[in-house]
Amino acid sequence: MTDRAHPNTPIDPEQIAALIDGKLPAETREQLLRSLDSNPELLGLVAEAASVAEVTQSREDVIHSAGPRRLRPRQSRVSRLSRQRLIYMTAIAATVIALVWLPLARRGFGTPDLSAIIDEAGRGSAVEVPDYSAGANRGLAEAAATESEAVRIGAALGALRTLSNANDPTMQVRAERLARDVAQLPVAAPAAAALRAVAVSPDSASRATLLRQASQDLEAVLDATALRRGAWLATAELAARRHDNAFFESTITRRFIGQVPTVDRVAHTPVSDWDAVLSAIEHAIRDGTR
Amino acid sequence: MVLSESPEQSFLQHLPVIDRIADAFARRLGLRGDDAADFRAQVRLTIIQDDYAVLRKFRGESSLATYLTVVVAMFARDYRASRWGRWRPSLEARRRGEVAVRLETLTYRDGLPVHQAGEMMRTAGETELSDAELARLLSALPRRLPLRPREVDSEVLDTDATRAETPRNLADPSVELESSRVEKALESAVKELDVDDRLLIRMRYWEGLSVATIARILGTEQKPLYRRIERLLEFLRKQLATSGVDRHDLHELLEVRA
Repeated sequence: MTDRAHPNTPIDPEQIAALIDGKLPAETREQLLRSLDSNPELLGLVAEAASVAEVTQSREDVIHSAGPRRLRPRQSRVSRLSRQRLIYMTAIAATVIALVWLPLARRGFGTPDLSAIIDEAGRGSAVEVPDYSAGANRGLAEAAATESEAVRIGAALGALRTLSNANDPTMQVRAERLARDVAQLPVAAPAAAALRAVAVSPDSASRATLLRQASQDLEAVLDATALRRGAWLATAELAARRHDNAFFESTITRRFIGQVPTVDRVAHTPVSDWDAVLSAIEHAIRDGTR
Repeated sequence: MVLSESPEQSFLQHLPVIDRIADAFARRLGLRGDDAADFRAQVRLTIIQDDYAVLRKFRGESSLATYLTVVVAMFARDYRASRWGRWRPSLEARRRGEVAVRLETLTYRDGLPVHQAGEMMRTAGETELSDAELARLLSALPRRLPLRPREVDSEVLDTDATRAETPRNLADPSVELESSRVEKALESAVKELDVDDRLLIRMRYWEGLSVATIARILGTEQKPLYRRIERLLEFLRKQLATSGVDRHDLHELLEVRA
């Protein structure tokens, strides 16, 4: 490993790490920032390390070893921002709850039908709907009827529903891909058939019926809670991409999070830090772990 | 050294974190399978060698996780330079996920045509996308050229000779000239900013860092940065306009630039 980014400029990895953590004394930070400004390669190194640190370090992953912890500045930022957010959130949350959550609440939260949330969250969305199918990321041979797989399939169903509602042209490919994923699961042939029918169905109303049928079929053979968790996470990802903090601040979301331990990581991420929220959601979908 | 346990114990305790960091960099490098496993092993070796020198040097001024991330980033930079020159996946590819990074790596860095890249990825179980879908994905990525001559087998040479995927814009000298003009105007406008603002813009738009991370690096509050970025973009827009660069020119630049 080379310790130099520039022939005469030694790199101290810990100094860079302290810069990324926001732990560097002001004077040292200013000096290092000037170095970054004049050395694009060093800036690239810092940026790359910071990007990876964002992804690999969720709150509970922080290593509790000697030295100051990364956790503290974020916690203090949360408390500062939470007061400011409270003022704005009250009004926004009321609107969102009325539009999105009340129908769900009326049905009772014990067995949430997430379709209402997904329908509303996807409406008018200008953000790209993520692809959660196994084929987009890894081999189908890895697919198995595990809890994490159920979370991912739930997320894929949620995303598919959003695309279907929006008559998005990529819906057909996504539906076919998800059908192929699902067909590899034990006794999930009925759900796969429903999804194949979704792919060729011309109108959104019949697609919605078929998607509900596919969801019910899958809930019979997979972990139903994990499926719903995945659907919620997909919705949360859309909300995060639109910086819709009212979604995360609403009481009913909090109740949902309280009932679903897996989304703790999302719940404990400050919603002002959208990249961190998205990262936590992506982790939750990918890992599907408790 | 400030670690509370021996370097070996510390290494073993933090091995999952080290592996996670190594895997993250391997993905960014477009490594898969044996190559990724080899990269992970080399990262471990880097930390173990010289009686855990990396861990013994840790002073506790940052979190150990971030420190290890920077150490691995430095190793990854050298690894990349030794294998491919200064190749980095584009921001757009990273934004679009692992399939895009892998596709970009195979096509632009390694020079494979899309159908061969697709075949490799499908065989390895990395994607199920068809060649047409992969081509659409590739078309959304910035056009790039390999940074150094690369070793290829004869089959690739045969295919390369007939491939119809030469970057259109780069093949056109007038477009290249225009992009150079726009790029110079942009560089010139950015240079007018003070150091912090220049870094802010570069970290946000050149390097794709989140505002939260930039705030920590600059040692400032996150919230005011959003307005500051807006002001800076407005300033840059005006500067570019006075240089005769409009939105269309910038779009053309982004088509060419990696």
